[in-house]
Amino acid sequence: MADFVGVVQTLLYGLINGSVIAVGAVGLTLSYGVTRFINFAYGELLTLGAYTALLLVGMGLGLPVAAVVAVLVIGVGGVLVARVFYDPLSDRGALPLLITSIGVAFVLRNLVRAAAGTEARQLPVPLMRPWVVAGLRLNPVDAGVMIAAVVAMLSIHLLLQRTMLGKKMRATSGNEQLARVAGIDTDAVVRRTWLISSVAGAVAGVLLAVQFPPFRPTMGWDFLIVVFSATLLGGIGKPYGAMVGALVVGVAMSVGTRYVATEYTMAYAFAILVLVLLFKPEGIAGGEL
Amino acid sequence: MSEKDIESVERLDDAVLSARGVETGYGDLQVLYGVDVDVREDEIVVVFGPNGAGKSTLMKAIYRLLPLWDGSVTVTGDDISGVATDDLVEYGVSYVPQTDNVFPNLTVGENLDIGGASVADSEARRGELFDLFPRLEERVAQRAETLSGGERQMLAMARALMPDPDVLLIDEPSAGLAPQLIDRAFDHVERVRDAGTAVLMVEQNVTAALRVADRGYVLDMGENRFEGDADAMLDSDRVRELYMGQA
Repeated sequence: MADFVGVVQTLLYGLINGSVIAVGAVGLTLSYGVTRFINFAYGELLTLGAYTALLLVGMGLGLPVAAVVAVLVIGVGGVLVARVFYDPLSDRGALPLLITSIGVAFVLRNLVRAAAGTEARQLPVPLMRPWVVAGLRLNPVDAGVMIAAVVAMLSIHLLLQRTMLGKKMRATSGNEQLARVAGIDTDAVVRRTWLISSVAGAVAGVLLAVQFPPFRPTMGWDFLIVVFSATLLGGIGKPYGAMVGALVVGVAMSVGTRYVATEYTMAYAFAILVLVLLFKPEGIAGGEL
Repeated sequence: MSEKDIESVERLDDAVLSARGVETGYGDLQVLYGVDVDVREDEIVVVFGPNGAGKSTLMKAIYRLLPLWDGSVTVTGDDISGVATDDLVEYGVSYVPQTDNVFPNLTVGENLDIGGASVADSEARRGELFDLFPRLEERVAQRAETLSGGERQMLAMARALMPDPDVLLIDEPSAGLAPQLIDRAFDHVERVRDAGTAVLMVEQNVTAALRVADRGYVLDMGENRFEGDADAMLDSDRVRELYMGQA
């Protein structure tokens, strides 16, 4: 019985981790689906989300308000970064954009380092006694993180399926030239996609900072490998694939940490990435939203 | 109408779409050298000619998918020469490309929603188009990538017709269709015209296209070669010999 509870507990932690990964992976896959290039600076949006929330908490805001404001600020910031660095290169193909995004990642990461220092920080998350049901333990903070992640994914689902913007994003992803022929302002669609992608990245960053304190300026870059694993496993450009891929990666990391070796948490995500590239390379070929 | 009549290109004053002196190309390669085309209200006009004559290039130039090097295009009197592709729908002109003309990842209904994004009562317009293409109503929740070639062509036309344009440009409506479906494709083009939208189409299947068309233009080496009533073109020995492979 103890073993069974242990397995279910491990799976539960995996699903909680997976839900945070999913928010990050969906943000990355949305931007790829519409713009057709992998934004390597995406991890820095996670970092900036966490540090902006920290800054706002330091200015006296409560954590929930600080988190919401930070997400909005980084959403707008993501659009500005895209406008300044990516828009001028948008007709040069994916490779120049990809290389530029690596440079943008370095710049943003070192700006955070210069502004906040390299020491570990943490958000003021209250210590809470876990709930125990049938031997399973669930920390209220983890439950809150999971609920926030599920709400974020549901919002993205509704956006894509029920709104005209979502349909325009999917149309632009499916056939950009036909979208313009059909009267869609694809530049506006791309700008809104950057906003949504950046918001998702910042949400993932705040949730990650809440769930796994403390954090450093490299948190987003380090987490990018996990996000890539989930994204590629689900087929890049496919948000629902990214959600499923994230849950698989989250569970694999949790199971590996619990039953194989604790110190290799990130290695399990990396192993999935390698396996995808070996046996399911079409995952990097890209699909439509 | 004599052979001589179709060798001169007549400029029409009552055209809903007028392309004048269109010059364009790809990179440094010029393809069109001053092409003129007019389409009047309630008219199907077919553009044909040998491979490489510049037929599809003309469509792309009119729809601003290629830059106009010279010349002008007007729709209902408005000069659209400098209008961006994504704004052309507002000027009353829509375009159905030859290939990749539906959004494969969207359902039939969503494809129509995209076409009707700027339409005030898109539900009513969708209903009118379902009357025109009843098969689409049966497939409304199906992803476009699962449709047959004929159904895709219907969807492509319906998507372009959602804004109720004055002129519809269609690039080879019969391309890729099974022989038994080609007549149906031209039936649909006729129904579009009968419903009040003028049609400019490029077509390789010349004889079938001229049977439903009102007028035709022949392009050759990027220039106007013949122009006239569809019946006169069908009766012209020179046109049949040179462009339809019939003596």
